This record gives sequence, C-alpha cells and structure tokens, in this order.
Amino acid sequence: MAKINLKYIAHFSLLTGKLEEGIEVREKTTVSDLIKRLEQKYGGFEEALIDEKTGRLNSRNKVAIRKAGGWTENITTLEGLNMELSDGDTLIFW
Amino acid sequence: MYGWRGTILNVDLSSGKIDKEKLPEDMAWDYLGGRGFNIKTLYEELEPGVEPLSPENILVFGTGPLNGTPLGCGRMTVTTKSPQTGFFVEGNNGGFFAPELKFAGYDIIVIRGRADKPVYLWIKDEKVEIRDASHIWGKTTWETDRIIKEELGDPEIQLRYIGPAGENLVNISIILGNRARAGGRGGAAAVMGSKNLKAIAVRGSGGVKIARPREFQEALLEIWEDLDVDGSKDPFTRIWGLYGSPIVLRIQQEYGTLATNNGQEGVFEKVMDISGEEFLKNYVVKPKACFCCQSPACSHWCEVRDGPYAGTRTEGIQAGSTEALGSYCGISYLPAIIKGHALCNELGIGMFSTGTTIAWAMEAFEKGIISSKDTDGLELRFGNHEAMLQLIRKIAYRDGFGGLLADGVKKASEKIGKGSQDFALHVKGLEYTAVEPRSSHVAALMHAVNDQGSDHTRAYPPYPPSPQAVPQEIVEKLPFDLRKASDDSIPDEKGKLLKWLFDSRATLNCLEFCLFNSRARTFADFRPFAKAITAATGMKFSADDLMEVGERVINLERSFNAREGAGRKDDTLAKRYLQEPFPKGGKAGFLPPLEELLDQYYEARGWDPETGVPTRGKLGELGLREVADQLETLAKQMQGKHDGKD
Repeated sequence: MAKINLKYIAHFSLLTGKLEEGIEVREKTTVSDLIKRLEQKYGGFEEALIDEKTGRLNSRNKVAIRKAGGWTENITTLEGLNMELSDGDTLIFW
Repeated sequence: MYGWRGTILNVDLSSGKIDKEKLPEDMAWDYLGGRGFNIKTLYEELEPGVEPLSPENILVFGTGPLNGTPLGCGRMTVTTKSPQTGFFVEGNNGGFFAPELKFAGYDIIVIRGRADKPVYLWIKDEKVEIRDASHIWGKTTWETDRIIKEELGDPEIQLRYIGPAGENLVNISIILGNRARAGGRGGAAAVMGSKNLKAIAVRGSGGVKIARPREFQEALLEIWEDLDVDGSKDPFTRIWGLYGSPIVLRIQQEYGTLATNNGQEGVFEKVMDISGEEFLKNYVVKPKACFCCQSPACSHWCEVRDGPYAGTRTEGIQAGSTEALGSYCGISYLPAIIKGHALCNELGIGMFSTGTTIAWAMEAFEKGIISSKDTDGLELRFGNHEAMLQLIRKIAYRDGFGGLLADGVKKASEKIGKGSQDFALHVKGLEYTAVEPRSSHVAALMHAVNDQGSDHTRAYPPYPPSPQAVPQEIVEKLPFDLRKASDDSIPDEKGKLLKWLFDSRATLNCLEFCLFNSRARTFADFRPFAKAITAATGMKFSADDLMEVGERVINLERSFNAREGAGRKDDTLAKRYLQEPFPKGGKAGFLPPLEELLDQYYEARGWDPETGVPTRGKLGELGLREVADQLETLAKQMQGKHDGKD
C-alpha cells in the first residue's frame, strides 16, 4: 500500500467538501485509477477532468503531481494518466 | 469617429489653459488606444532627463476603442515618468472611470504643468474646469470619493484620485478610483501630487458609436463564450468568475512558488489561514466587478466582524494582497491582511511595493542589520502584523522609518547597505509583484526584461496557451514551438514565448480589454478581437494588424527607456532570484539561466543582443524610423562624451 496526499482547490474543494485528505492505494494504482476512485466516492471528477469524446485530460481543470522531493508537474498526457503512484506522492486537483 | 470619441483633452495646470484637439486617425490605427496612446504621447513630449516630479513631466490617462462598450470592462492606462525608477511607469486601472470618460467625449487626458495650489479637474461633457481642492488635500481616497460626489451632487460621478501618500510624494504611491481600483506603481500618484492635482472627476451623457452593431454583437458573443464558467476550456475562467483570485494562493503553495518571508522560501506553512477558501468562508460579503465584466468574482466586498480589526470594510482583495501583506511578511492573520489592504487603498500606496519593502525591512531586522533604534521602536519580525500596519501608515506620511521605506526597497537598501541590497527584491528599482521569478523560465525572463520594472501583469498569464483551447490553425501559426515552450524543464523557446506574450498582452492593453478575460481560445486567437474592433471602429483590422500594434508599443516603450540610458545591464533580477533557490517545495532547487534567456529574447525581438536596444531595422519595420534616428543621435552624443573623457 502507498500513502498519497490529495489537495483539493476551487471546484474540487466544493466537490469533496474538503481542502485535503490522505488516502492509501494499492501498488500499481495509476493516476487514472485514482480519478475513477474519486469519481465513485465524490462524483464530478471525470466530468471535470476528462474529455468525454477523447478520453484524454481536458484543459478546463488541472491535475498535477509532486513526487516526494520532486517538482510539481501538471499531468497533461495519456502517459501521465497511466503513471503509477508511489508512497508520499501528492496530487493536486484545481 | 466610431469606437473612439476622437478627442484629446489637454490640461495645463500651470497656466490653467484647457484645450481639446482631434485624435489623429493614424494614431488610432498605429496605437489603438490606452497603453499605446500613452507611450506615444510620453515619448514625443518628454525630453530625455526630465525630472519626474517637475512641472515638465506629464501624466497621460488613456482609454481604448472598446471602453464604453460591454467589452471594455472599464480598464484604462495611466502613464508618466517614474520618480522611483527614472523610466516610464504605467498603471492599468479598472472600474468605471474609463467608460464615463468616453461618455463625456474624450479618449485621452494629458495633464501638464503644476497648479499653484491643490486642485481637482471636473469634466462634465464638454465643460471642463479646474476647481479648488484645498479642503480635500490631506484626505484619504475614500473621503475624497465621498466629498467630491457630495459637493458636485451626483453619486454616479467617476473619479481618479490620490491619497496622502501621493501628496507626500511617496515613491510607492498609486492612483485609485472606485475606492479599490489601483494602478500606477512607481509613483504615478507622486507625480499627480507634485502637480497639486488631487483628483479627476468625470460625468458624461453621451455614448460610444459602433460602426456595425450586428457584427460587433457577434464578436462580443464569441469572446464572452470563452468566459462561461461551465463551458470555458481554461481553469482560471471559473476561478475569476466564481471564487476570486485569492484561491490562487494554495495553487502557488502546491507548486512551491508562494514567496514567503521575503522570498526566502516558496512554501508558507500557515497558508490555510490566509487562503482564498478561508477568505470566502469568513470575510466575503458580496462580489463586485468592473463595468460590464463577465467575471464577477474578480473583486469582493469584504468585512472583518470581530477581533482587533473588527469593523474593517474594504474591496478588491486579490491573491496579491494576501501574498504581499501575508506570506511575504510571514503574516498569517487574515484580518490584519484585510486591514492592511484597506489602509493601502485609503492612504494610496501600492500593496505589492509596500509588502515587498516591509518584508525586506523584516529580514534586515531579523539579520541584525537594523534594530529597533532604526525602526522607531518597532519589532520588525516576520509575522508581526501590528508592526506592519503601523509601518503602512508611517510610509504614507513619510514618518520616521517610514520615510526611508517610502522611497522604495532599492533606495532604502542602498541607504542601509550592509548586504541588505542582496535581498532587496526589485527590478529596475520597482518592487517585486507576483508570479515568482523562480517559478519558471518565462516568469524570470518576464520580470527581468519588463521595461517598467517587476510586474507580472505584462505577460499574464505567463505560460503558453493550451492546444485544447485554441483552434488548430492558430496553434500551427504560433511563433514558437508549443511543445518545447510548454516544457519548463528546459529553457528552449522561452524567449520567443515571452515576446509573443508581451506583444499580445500589450495589444489587449491598447484595446483596454482585461487580461483576466483573455482566456482559453482568445488567449491566442485574436480573430474575435479583430472582428470586434473592426465592427466597432469601421476600420479594418486583422489579427496580425493587432499583434503588430503590440510589438510597436513594446519597441517604443523600450526606446523611451533607452533614451534614459537603460539597456541590457538593467534587464536583471535581484541577487536572491539568481543565486538562492527555494530550499523545499514543488520548485526546490530551480534557478533561471538568465543570460541565456536574455539572448533568446533579444534575438526573438530583433534587438541588439549586446545593448538590448531595438535596432534600426526593427524600428523601421514598425514605422518608427524617427525613433531610430533619435536613438542613434543620442548614442553618438554619449560616445562623444565618453571619448572626450578618455
């Protein structure tokens, strides 16, 4: 299991009713898997982030990741969505 | 004329002479309005070396062809020569003044000379008069707003005014209107104060004629479509439209670029206490916006209801307020930040310059460079909000230690010395604003080469457009490689990107369209603006024509400064930004390779890479041959003086 930090800003703090939370995910969980999990838990995540026609990330909202000790990087590509999460990762939704 | 009102209002405060002249059509074509009109006027009228606080300096208030239409949003530009930097300075204020000035029949006001006593200007349609302001001198901006409206008997009068800081010739003073719409960092208000001009009041009963109303409406709807909070393809549309910019604070925090404790860190541990969410939940009363704006949450009316600052009411808290008076100074008590914001507006000093200057003093205090003996007894430690609020008042009235800070951080640090210049955060003498230079390559370059000094608004937003938001045919025409420009792990293409950002934002400033509202498609696709301006004025502009105006304005602004001796040597950043990376957070370790970025930028501009000055060829392309002649003559004179000394 990996511990992940989630930060919710603007629209996403309204969807979740939270500013941040910590969760645990199984090994090999991807960013895409996480978005699905948050969709099930809160609703509105896929609509906010994913273009329903292409299945890719849209430009209306952002999701970014900061690996432990690394820079914060926007996730913009399919590769990014398929990135596996590691212990200590922080994901920012805004 | 359509779009423009076709009249320049000239006011000589020394002689009391007021006259009106026709706006030349070629000036409208070449410069569009606002920022463009102003720098053309300033360049042509001021001789190099004019003392900024002398009667020879001028103040230009310029509107654009969209002001007075629903697209104008109330933006306008004020331009003058800065007493703080010695270069030009301009401010872009919002509110309702600009459309009212157009309704009264004017595109530009040029203020010259100096009145022999405090006065204000009263413009009511064709009637213009200079009135006594002795009874208002010394009043705050809010008092001034109330008194003038009461004595002229009309609450709908629109105003631009200065507070005590401008009267006291404080370098970091600003001009305000609508109580919270500020602009003119670098001492535009001090120039107004030096002219004994307390305020300009305007009321108009006319309108703005549109050449082709149906086409204008089509273009307007195209532009507004981008600003729909549900449909827009840009995340900031929703932020400006629903939440307001203080929401940005936590975004900066998570990207590790929230300048804290005078930029020593990029993460503020107490960010939650001053966040946009906290502000919205506990202090906001209602949203407020400029004339006809589609982003109603840009400004908020807010109140502090309890605690030591209970009863504070103010407007216009932006992310910049919570940064400059918050994280920069290590202050996490939001009511104190709101109180500080209110004081800055009422006394007429700029929040960014004030916050940056006080943060510098706090660092100097904590490092033992200055002590309470220097600070009139104030314990200037990071987080001491009582001391910050006392200093704001002292700055505005040039009282004691505040008098030192009133000249700005560059001059204050030069006087204190002892290494404090190394952490005085300014560019060309103007204090750091927002968008940390260590947040990205383009942010660093933006601050460094900005002709009026540090200012994040000149290339806002400071990143490339999203290919998902902009039509493919526009993406293909962008003058930079979008993939490389979007990759901040490399410096590649950032010079070209910044040139495009600067030119396109300058065009928007000439139209006097709000930068917050150029998002998604219209961030890069200027065809709707070309359609709007063509329909409004009846003069046919293409998107390329508009971009050329922006480039012309940037070149003329740089030429103005070059006449004053500026060049590549001035395109630099504070030592901290070049040598001290953030120790932790989402951008830890990054330092911008500034010299490489400068080379890229000058090459993209077609400027001399050694001097950073526009070349004859570039100026000629833009129809500025006379400017090229003048710069060459000045360069020869300087060379002659240099040779004579040898």
